[in-house]
Amino acid sequence: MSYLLETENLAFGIGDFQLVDVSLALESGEYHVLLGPNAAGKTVLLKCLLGLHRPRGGAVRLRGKDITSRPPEKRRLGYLPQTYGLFPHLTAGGNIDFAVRRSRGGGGREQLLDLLGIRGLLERPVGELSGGQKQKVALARCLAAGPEAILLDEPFSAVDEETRRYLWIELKETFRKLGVTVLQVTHSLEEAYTLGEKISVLIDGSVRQSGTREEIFQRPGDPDVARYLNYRNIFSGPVRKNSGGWEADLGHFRVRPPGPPPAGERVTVCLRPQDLKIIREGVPVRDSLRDNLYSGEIAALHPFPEYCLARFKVTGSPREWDLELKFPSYIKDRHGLHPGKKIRVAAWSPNIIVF
Amino acid sequence: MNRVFDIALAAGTALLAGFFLLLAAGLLLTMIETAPAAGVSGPRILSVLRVSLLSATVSAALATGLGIPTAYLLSRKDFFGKTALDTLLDLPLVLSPVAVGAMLLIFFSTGFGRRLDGLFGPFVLSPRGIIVAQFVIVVGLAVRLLKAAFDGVDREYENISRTLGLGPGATMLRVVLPISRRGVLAAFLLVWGRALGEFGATVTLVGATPFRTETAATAIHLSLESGDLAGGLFFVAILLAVSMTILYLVRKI
Repeated sequence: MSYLLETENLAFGIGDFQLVDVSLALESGEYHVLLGPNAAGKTVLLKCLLGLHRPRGGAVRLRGKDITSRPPEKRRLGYLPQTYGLFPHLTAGGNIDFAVRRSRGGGGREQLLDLLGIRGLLERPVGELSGGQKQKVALARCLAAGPEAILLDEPFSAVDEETRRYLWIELKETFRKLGVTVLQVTHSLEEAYTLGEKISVLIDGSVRQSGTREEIFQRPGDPDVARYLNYRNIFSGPVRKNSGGWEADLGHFRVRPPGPPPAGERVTVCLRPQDLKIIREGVPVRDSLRDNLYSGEIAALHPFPEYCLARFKVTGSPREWDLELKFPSYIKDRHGLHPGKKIRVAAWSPNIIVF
Repeated sequence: MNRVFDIALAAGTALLAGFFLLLAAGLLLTMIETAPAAGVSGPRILSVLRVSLLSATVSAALATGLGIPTAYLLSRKDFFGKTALDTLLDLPLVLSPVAVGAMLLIFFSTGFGRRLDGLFGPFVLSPRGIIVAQFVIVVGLAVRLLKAAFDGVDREYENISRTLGLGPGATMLRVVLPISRRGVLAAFLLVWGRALGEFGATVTLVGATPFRTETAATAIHLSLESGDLAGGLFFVAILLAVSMTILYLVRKI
């Protein structure tokens, strides 16, 4: 099938930094998030798509047509930078009209003003707008030009923490109503999860994985992606086959994933912190938890506003701690958890990741 | 220890400020004591002002206008020979203006120079030469100041303008120049003031003929040379007033 916007083996170099073989594909109307750590090349990639950087190799296609050598003004791709870039010599309305005058059909200035709720801001100088208002005016300007797709670079970095989540939902709803295709850059996992229907993970200048948000967050494609998602329990060890299946021998404990054994002699496995459950003594253990049950003690507890992290040390382990657990805050009280407390922990088998 | 250092800084600054205050006071006292300008006639004053203001305005406008593309190029692009071009533009700022005037004089005696002189001139020993001399002296300064103004414009504005459908030329006119308009205006004013005070290159290329090529700066020189202290003081006061006004305006922009 033909994608709205796609790149094929895009390559670009600037200083020591390289974008390598980047292939991305956006379907029409999709909200696609480009997720990655700082300096992974996210902004550089956006600028290659926009025509602001000239790639060294590969192709950019819009509706199947090669636009790699088209200048930015002929690409029909909207751009919302981190700082919004509202022209300081114009009012909010002047900024929007700047785009309207050049719009190639579509746009719909009046509809945008109502949908974004910015009709009252038109006469204001841009210096007097709040972060959220600036974002909306910049968005209206971007959409008023009637682009095929819009590219957003960390659009929430200048918005207050408390309004950010509200804006995520509002923005996504606006784009859904307008049927806009979006590619958004972010380094925030939460933002990517909330907004992205599709997510591509960019690390060190290459796209490591593209997929639905469930695929990315449940089945990270490689250990680097898993680490970026904050999954700390990543271990490598030799594969041991036995009558019941196979296991990864990690020295002082073993992980028994479901499914057939991997081809090599060594394997890397990942246990997501949220897939580790605390099991009370004397309570029957479910099948899906029974294969990976560990006894030990809590090495440390780290409470956060919305959850709690615990570090768990397997009995007899030479390390300070072995596994990181993430659970809702109330669990801490229900189990009376404290450092040094002896507990049992089980990994939920279906979600064990094997690389 | 800190206190000694602070006192040293303050003393150095006071010395400098005091020197300039003494200069101004000296001028003022001498003006009061000197008899009204005998050698400076009304028509000559008018001629000097007309020549000075006209030439400075035209040369500053040319330097600013023609400096914009170069300044923008230096601000935005990296290219082979950028450092060489940058150095070349600084040359008139450092080189003695008399040497620049001599170079112009020599240039207009070459075959190509003579042809230019025939087409747009005459320049040597004529009022149009004032504009050429001032232009050569100030264009480097214009490019410096304009480059600083463009450096202050975030490139993201240009990126956005491009994605909104404007080509690079339209982006320059509709986005970069309007955003940097204060810096461009300040550059024009400073360049205009520098052109107004230009003496060395002007006098070398066009001489100093009263009612023809005499500017305020050359008028000071001519007056003092001929022992007309009052006439010299009059033009010094005019240049001082204009310079102070320009500096004030540049800070107000």
